Amino acid sequence: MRNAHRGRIAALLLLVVPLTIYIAVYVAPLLSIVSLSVDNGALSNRFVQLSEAIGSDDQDQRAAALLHDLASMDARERAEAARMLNQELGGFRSLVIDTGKAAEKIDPTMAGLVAFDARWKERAYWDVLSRNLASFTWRHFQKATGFKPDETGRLRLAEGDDIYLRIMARTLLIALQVAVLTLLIGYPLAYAAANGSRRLSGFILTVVLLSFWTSILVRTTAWVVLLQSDGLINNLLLDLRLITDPLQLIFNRFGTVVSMTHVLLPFAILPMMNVMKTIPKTQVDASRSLGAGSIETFLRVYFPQSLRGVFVGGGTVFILSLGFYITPALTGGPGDQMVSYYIAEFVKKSLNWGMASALSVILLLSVVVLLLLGAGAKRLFGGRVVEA
Amino acid sequence: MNNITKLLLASSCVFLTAQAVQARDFTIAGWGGNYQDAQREAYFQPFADAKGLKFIETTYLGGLAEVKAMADSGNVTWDLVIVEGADLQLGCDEGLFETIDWETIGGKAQLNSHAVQPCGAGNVVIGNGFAYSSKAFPEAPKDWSDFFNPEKFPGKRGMRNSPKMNLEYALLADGVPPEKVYEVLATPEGVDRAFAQLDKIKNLLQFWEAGSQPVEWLSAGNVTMSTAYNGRIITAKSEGRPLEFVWKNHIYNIDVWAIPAKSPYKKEALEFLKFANSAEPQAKFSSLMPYGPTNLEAAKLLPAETLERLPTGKNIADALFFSDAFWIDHSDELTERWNNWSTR
Amino acid sequence: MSRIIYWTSLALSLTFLILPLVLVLPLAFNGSSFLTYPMEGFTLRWFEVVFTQAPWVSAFLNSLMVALGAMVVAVVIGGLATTGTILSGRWGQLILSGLFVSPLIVPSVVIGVAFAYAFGRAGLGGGYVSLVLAHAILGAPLVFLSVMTSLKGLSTDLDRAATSMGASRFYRFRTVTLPLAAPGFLTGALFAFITSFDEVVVALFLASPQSTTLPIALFSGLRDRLEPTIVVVALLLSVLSLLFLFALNTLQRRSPSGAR
Repeated sequence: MRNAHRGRIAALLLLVVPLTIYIAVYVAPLLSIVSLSVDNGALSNRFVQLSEAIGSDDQDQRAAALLHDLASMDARERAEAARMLNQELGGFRSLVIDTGKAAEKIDPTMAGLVAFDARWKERAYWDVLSRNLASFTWRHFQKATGFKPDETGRLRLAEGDDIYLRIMARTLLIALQVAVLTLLIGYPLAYAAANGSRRLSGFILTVVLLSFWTSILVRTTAWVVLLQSDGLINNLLLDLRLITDPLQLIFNRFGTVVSMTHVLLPFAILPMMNVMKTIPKTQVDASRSLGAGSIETFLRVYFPQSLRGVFVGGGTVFILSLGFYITPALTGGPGDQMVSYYIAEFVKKSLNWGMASALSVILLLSVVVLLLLGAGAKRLFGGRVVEA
Repeated sequence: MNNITKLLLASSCVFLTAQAVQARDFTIAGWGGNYQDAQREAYFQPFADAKGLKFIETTYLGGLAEVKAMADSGNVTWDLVIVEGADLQLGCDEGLFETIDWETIGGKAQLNSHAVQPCGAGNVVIGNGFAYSSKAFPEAPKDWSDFFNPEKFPGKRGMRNSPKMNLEYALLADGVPPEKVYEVLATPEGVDRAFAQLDKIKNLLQFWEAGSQPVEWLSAGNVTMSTAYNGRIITAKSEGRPLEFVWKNHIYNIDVWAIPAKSPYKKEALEFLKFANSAEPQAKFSSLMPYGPTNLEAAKLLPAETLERLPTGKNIADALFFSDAFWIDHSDELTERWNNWSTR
Repeated sequence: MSRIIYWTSLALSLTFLILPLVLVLPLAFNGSSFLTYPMEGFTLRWFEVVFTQAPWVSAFLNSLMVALGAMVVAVVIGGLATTGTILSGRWGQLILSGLFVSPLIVPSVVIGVAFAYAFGRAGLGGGYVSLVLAHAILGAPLVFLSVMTSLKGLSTDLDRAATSMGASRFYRFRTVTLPLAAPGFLTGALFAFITSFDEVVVALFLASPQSTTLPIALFSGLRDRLEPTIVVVALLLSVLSLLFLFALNTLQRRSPSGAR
């Protein structure tokens, strides 16, 4: 009894450090972007009076509240709020900045506001304000999915707002293409590594592992050099007189899918190989001795048993592809960028952390859901756990 | 336990050395490439030599993410950065850049009025137009309507993947006079009109991200025409590449030096601005890199054949000054529409 | 017939896997500045450029420092996490393993955004410390897995022998199991080092100009202009991977259980 107790205490003591670091440096940041994706504090905390007055029918009361709020912000807070409102409606930024600078001099009535800048007459600006006064917002998710509530409050997909949905569909499509290609190309390699002679399988395993551990960036570099218009492939084809003008091989879907397939190939091969190694050779021999041809034996005896590896390999590649950023950024065109690219753009270019977080949450959720589905399928179809 | 103690000790050593390194030199962030090479020769090195200062350089890829991160964390790692006008304006409003006392850096009078900003000193005038491969067409394209005319001038076109300037180009091609472009673009009909022009060449477009790509693509024959910075094309042409830049109705903008807020080298950075505003180094820079000076006297120090390569004088007679104010207000919605259009 | 299909498909697949690197990497020695064949003589001048130009050299040193720091931190937290998890109950093991391994499946862009935001808030933005911590989190699961595998792969005979002599679970663990797991720790350390050294996405979000790492320099070089120096850096990184694989192989041969 005492010994078991001591083991438990030791476990707890040992876990204190790693758990603290994990929670502080990893779990907390992930949770912070979940909250960031729905957080609206930057607006709600700054339009305090307006959020009380917005429901009132008295226009002048609303105008006075707005002016009071704008006057009580310092220049930096006002600029930040203006930037966020501008993400909702173009032109709002200059309206807020200009009005804010003069807030104390403007007559605190609706007429005064409109006299200062006629844009305040338009309903659109007030609608955006009233939608964004709560401390909690779905607007980033609405933009990410394209589904917005209409006047009746029902969610509807507006025309032209489906850009991120299309990007997500594109991400899934590219991931699927890459997964299928890695399986097709990887299967013979996995087969040879599992069933070939000792030297052949050793060679293949070395090559696959080497590829696995060579930086993604290095392998992408190789493809950039290969696929350029005056790159190796085009020069070869031109020298062989197969083509007369260089082909466009890079900065399009072809370049993206080919380089991603190469980068992810080891992830498909290794699980397939592990499963194939467990398939007993005696079964194949038995089938052959019963008179089945080698192709028939392969299709009816070997292939079905290797399917588990195919699913694990393909699933791994598919899930990893979803989050790809570097390779498409270097070998794809604007029409081939995946969700990750837009997440990075939102952070780097437009400082829109809300959208970046919302898209990150969606990406993360899709990965988790797919993993759970995969785990469920594995449990459903039985079979031993395959170590990838 | 002993081993773990050792590991902890080793790791704390790593942290300590890491901290020590952060006492840093004067840091300048630029756009890289030949541009920064010329800046080093004309500005950085002479300035550092004169002041006995050690400096390091880094590349900046646009946007405000880095500067904002510095302001938020208080760990200011840049002392000077050369930004586009829109980012300067945004950053200035949000307090990300130091405000400048113009009297201490040589006064406003010596500069082009567009270059005088509350948080920055405009330094480099850049021409944005289009270039073509001189081998591609029997008759040279002359203006934007030629760029948007695939029947007369066949072949792929390079274009930066952004609505900025491209919408203006489209309106210029559609016959809108330069002085009316932003007026038209501010209306929904004007935006539709610009996209309708772009639709005409949409299936010929290939988007570039880095300023070096148009040069590479034009030389390799990937595209026959491309929007481009005048500097990249003219430099490549002087190196013997068969390229021509079209000055007609180009759009010019000014890159601005700004000082990230709370830079520990603010004093030195202001001295740098004073130096960078003066005529001699600007003339030197323009002779190295074909971008225009903002100092009004600098052109007088340059020979005529250099001036012909710059977005100054007669080259900007019919040019349009890029409106940062317009794009600050409309960038979000137009970028979204652009992405929607370009990925469809 | 089946042999033809087998060998043709194998040959094509192998070509696809190997050829890109085999074709491209020799261009690091190309005499001309064009990245294409035929090579115009053999030169080491691009190597000279990489080894003498300040941006590449400092990026290399940064990468080295970050990778070493991340390795040390990852081994400490990964090692403690494994030993703690092994000593916990069945459900504890399941939950803890899930937590400790999870950074492997979170897309790196998501990690980049989350860390950039949270570290920025905590005032850690843009330095070595943030890079080391982030890369340690990415490396720790690999340490966890390799130590776990080597612990589980250990022969239970020794353990049983110790039990029969009356040793407690914890004592057994400390004196018998742990020393035998040393190769697992070393393997994990190697994994963590190479992961950090090659990592680019999270670093892109976190690094400041002073802590630019080699992969970031390579990434921006690729976007800016394609020069032979870029292939030189790619070649150097590949050589590092080769050395790493060699070390891994040596380690596995020495490890008592031969576990991965």
